[in-house]
Amino acid sequence: MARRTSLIACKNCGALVPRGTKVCPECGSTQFTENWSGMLVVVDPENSVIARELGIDKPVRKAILIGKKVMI
Amino acid sequence: MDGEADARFYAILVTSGAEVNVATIIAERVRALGLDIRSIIVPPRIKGYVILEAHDPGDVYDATRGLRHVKRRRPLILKFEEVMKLVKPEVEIPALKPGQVVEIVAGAFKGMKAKVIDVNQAKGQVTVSLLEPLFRATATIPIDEVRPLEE
Repeated sequence: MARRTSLIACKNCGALVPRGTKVCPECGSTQFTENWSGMLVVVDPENSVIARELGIDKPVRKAILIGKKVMI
Repeated sequence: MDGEADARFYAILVTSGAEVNVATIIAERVRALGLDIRSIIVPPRIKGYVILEAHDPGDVYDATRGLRHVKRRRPLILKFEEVMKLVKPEVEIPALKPGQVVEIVAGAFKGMKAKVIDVNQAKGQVTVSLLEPLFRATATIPIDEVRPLEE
């Protein structure tokens, strides 16, 4: 499901950033990939059940899968 | 706000292929309008659905109003367990055994053949010994970068 979108995923933490980004704003990694699928956006981490279950405590936008690896 | 007890998951039907775009626009709209949508999920491998975590279906209607690519705004209500299965999908990992010959299909060693030395399922990594005449070395690479070869 690697289709062309305007977002690329950080290979280290899975954060989705606009194409052309050189350094991941979340973890500082410089490796990105287009081969991601699934997306999780946490808007309100304090009240989100999903965020609590996954231990996410700040607003994020992440890829769920990179290749076959689960990122969250 | 009542918190988790009242959060529900609403799946809306969107055009196949436009899920990520719809989710991005909804996220912007939620921030701009201050809607009570707590998270937005685009499930991998399932086409045509975007899942919104919200307390009030009214917020779901507001978030999707007039959006292009949203095909049906009347949402499907999902259970938490069902959503967790989508968010944490079971990943089938190719059964690799030490001693097996594999082909490397991605990364720096793409196209080379190698022999498996060790498999680390927890980290999703595999240690291989490269079977190149001029270039014998061991490398640890992600498990999805190798493909078992028929023996």
